[in-house]
Formats: sequence, C-alpha cells, structure tokens
Amino acid sequence: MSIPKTMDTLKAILANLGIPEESLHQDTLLRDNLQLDSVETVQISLELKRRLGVNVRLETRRDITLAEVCNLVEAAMSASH
Amino acid sequence: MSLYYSLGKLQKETWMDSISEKLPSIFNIAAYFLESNLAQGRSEKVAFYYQDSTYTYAQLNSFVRRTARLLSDLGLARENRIAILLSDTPESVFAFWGAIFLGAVPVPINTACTIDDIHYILQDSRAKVLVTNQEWQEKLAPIHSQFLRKILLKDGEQPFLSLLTQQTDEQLPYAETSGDEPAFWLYTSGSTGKPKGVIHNHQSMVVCAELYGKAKLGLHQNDITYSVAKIPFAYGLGNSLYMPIAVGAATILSDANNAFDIIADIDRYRPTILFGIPSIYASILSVHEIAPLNTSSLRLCLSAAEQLPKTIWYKWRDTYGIEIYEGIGTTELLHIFLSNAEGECRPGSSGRPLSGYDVRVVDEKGFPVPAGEIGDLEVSGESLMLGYWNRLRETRQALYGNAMRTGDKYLCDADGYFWFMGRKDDFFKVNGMWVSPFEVEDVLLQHEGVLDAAVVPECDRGEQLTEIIAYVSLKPGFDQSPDLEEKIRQLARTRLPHFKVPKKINFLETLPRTPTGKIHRKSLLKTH
Repeated sequence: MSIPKTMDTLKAILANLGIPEESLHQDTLLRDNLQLDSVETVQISLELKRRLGVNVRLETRRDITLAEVCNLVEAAMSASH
Repeated sequence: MSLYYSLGKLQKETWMDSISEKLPSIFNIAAYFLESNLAQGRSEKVAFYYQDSTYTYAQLNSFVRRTARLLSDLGLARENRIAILLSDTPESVFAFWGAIFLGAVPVPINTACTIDDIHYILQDSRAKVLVTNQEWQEKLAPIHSQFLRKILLKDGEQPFLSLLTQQTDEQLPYAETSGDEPAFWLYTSGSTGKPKGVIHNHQSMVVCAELYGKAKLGLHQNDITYSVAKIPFAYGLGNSLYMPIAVGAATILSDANNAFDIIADIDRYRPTILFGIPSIYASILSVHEIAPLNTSSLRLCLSAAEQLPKTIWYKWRDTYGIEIYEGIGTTELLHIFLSNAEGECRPGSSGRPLSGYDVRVVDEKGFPVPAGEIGDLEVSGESLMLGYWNRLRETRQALYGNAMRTGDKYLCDADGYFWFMGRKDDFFKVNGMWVSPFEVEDVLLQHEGVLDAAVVPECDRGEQLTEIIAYVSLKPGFDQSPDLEEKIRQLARTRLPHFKVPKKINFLETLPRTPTGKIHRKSLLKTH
C-alpha cells in the first residue's frame, strides 16, 4: 500500500474517533495537537490491525505525527512480507 | 533513640489487635520507614527505578532529608501544606517523604485533574509550596492563591534535584509527630463537584502496609512493584510509595500512558507485582496479537479502582495463566479492605474482608442485612481518614464512629463474598476515575441543539467495562442524525477529559423525569 492510501486509512480511523477531518495533516501530532488519550491511541493501533493487518505499537512517551504513524505502518508491512 | 529501634519489639508481634495502640507516642512515618530499611541493612538495595536511573535506600534517605532541610529553609513549617503536581518521578517521591519527615503535610495532586480543579485544590489546601514543572506552571498561570509562597520546579534554571544536591548531608532530626496527627492529604471527587481533601494521619500507611501489603500479598524485599494507578490516587500511593518501602522492596516509577507503554515497561523492568485497573487489563488483552505481554516476572496481578468484569478475569487467566486478585478500597480508608485471594477467587466479586477490617452490609438504620440482601457498605478499620478538610457536613455524613459508609450498594453472599450492586448517588467510574453525570450533562447542554441531556453508565450487567451513554432531546428545528451526534461528541471532546466523553448519544423525544423534576436515570438504564 502506498503512503497516501495509508494516510487516508489513518484519517478515516481518526475521523471515526470524532476528530474533525480539517484538523488532520501530515505533521499533526497525536498528543499535542489532537490530545488523544491512552484509550484512543490503542484504538488506532487496533484499527490499523483490523483494516491493514499490521502490528503497530503506538507508545505514547514520544509524540508522533500522522506521517510518522504511516511510516511505522509501511515499515511493519514490509517487515511482514 | 532511633525510631526503628523503639519499634523493634513491635516488629516481632502480630498486628492483628490494634496497630495504632502499639505505636510509640512519637511516630513519624517517613522516619520510621527510612530508618527501618537502613537498620535492616538495605542501604544499597534499590528503592525505585526511574527511566535509566536507580535509587537505593541510602540515596532515598539522603534525598528525603535534604528535601526536608530545603523545605525548612524555605519557611515551610510543621502542619503547613505542600502541593505536589507531578507525574510519578523521583522529585514527587522526595517531596512527599521529605515533607512528612519535616512534619509538613504533602498534598499530591492528580495530573489528570482539570485546571479549575487544580486551582481549587491549591486554594482549598492553602498550600504554601507547590512542587511542579514549567509546563504546569505555564498552564496554571496566573495562580491566585494568597497562601502560596514558593513554587519549586522539576526543570528550568533551578531544578528541584539540583537544589537538593546543593544541600549538605548534615543530619536533620525528624519532626516528632504523633501517629494520630495529619501526615498527608489526598483529594477525591466531591458530590458537589469540587474535590474533597481527605486527611490521613501518620499511622494510616503502616496499617495498610501491614494488613494488605504484608498479610494479604506477602510483599517481601525481593518484590518489584509496578502500578498503573499513579501516586496521587490512594491505590497508587500504596502500590508505589509506602507498601514497597514498608518491606524494603523496589518500585518502578513510570510515565506510562497506554497499554503499549505498560507492556514495554514490564518487559524492561520485570516487576513481580502488577497493580492494574480493569480498563488496562482489558486494553493489554485487546492488543495481545500486536504486543503480547511478557508475564514471566509476574507473581501477582491485582485489580482495584472499579469493578473488574468477569469476562476480563477469565480472558486474562486463559491468555496468561494468571488469576487477577480483585479488591476494593477507597481514598477515605486509604487502600484495599475487601479482596480476593489465591485459590479462592470469585470473579465478579470484590472478595472478602481483609483481616483487621470489619466490613458489613447494613440497612438505612445501620443494622446488618441478611446474606444475599442489598444494603449499604460500611467499613471500619484503623486506616480510616480523620475527615474531609473543611467539610464538616460531608465528614459527619460519611463517618459513623470508627466506621464509614462508602456510598456503594453491596450484597454479601452466604460464603462471605461481597458483590458490588451500584452506587447510592449518581456517580460512576470509568478508567478507574469518578465521573459525575452532571458535569457531562452540563457540557452536552452547551450545544445549541440540545434541549435536555442525561448521562448514564452502561456495562451490560457487569459483563463489560463501563461506558458513558448519553440521552438527549433536541430543540425544535434540530433533527437527529449521525452528523449531529458526531458534532455533539466533538463539542464534548473539546471541553471534557476524553474518558468522560459519551461513547454513544441516543436521541429521545423527552427525557424521563421524577415528580420532583430530576432526571430518572434508573429508567434510562432499564428501558434502553
């Protein structure tokens, strides 16, 4: 899957969590910008598993951007192939 | 004479009768714990792990004494309050014990509190010193407390730790406090919406460490504890601060936030005891395929703070081969008083009373009800609080002699197991934290389309974790739609901590109300 498609999936997951689409950009930070809590970061990870079949551990000690999440997804995909 | 040696005889006796009666007239719990460990040759033993650092009991002792001296130099006197607003860090540990050593009264503040609540707590507690970090200082600015004299920061130009390093190691005598006097406060949710300061004395921590830590869990010096609940929660305070130190064990101070962080921590530090809460057990199970938990170091998994659904208990045992021992405690009694135990777990129950606590289910007049009947939970034990700060009416309503009614509805079965049946008030717990339906309803009512709102907890008869469900009726001109539901939830997300945002919003023509005009929440729970 290409990065843009991964980003679309990620944005869809975040929209389902009740986050307005207009606040989602490549450099949006999960914690500082979206204020995601502990339950929500785990939900994203579970949804990525469900929709894309990838294992991505979204730890919270370092805040990451949507683009970085996509990179993690891509890395996990290529590792599993 | 050292405090530890004055208590030497007491160490060998059983604590079953009365712990408080065996304490000497001069008793400082910080000095007692520190001296006990040093006297038993644990100077070089690890007291806690924090990120890449370890702190031994000798270092803990030194830093606590330095903290006491620093606070004393700053003018903090006996009985003065000192607020601690930090995640679980070495600084929060030193500030807590250093204040008690000095005879001052630490007030740990939960970092999940709202800014308004933190301002309220600083005012209400009349804290003279605040220990925090730059981020919180900026968020709170300006602080309008006429009582606050000094803010100590963990970071910035003069970090708290560097101030401690500059202090001499010269021995500062501990304050000659009594076991009966206030040692620390913890704030808990109040029914009026404002947090209440729960006052505990010096003996409370010894009582809980003996009755739960040692007697029930068999805590020993080789244990390493890991607590999901943070220090400002009564459950976390025991798990990370005073129970390990009471036996010379180690603890892990963690800034973990979600299940992945916790899984990584457990793999890294290899704790023997996991003090969890139901939502975290559920979350760790949910990511099992993505990040399986390494349980090889764990000898005990405990749960408290809210009811653990049976389904999670069984799933945890089937997945990891470990039973979770569930218990219940309250801030007012400081820690667990009902607990399940090895070989005698009843999943879905809160277990049986710990030795040293008298737990009953009573009717409105205070008479015990027969087994199998629902009544009010009443608990007496020596770790009971002195009272709520500056809340006489609520203190009087809570305390009955040496007992307290917790506000929980319970039944006790014929085998002596206690089963949670709900609350007397409308409060409920999500993620182990109290939620007032009024607070959530107030926010929903701020949406232009919402006429009336009611919020209830749903847990599928105890089978699932509690979720917040809202019922709203709309103003004329507004029609129900998934889009409107989403807009209302988005508003709630901007004004409430995320765990308080309703998972689902149901639309009704009108909300059921009692004859006195109050929302009839029970009928919403039954019919929908």
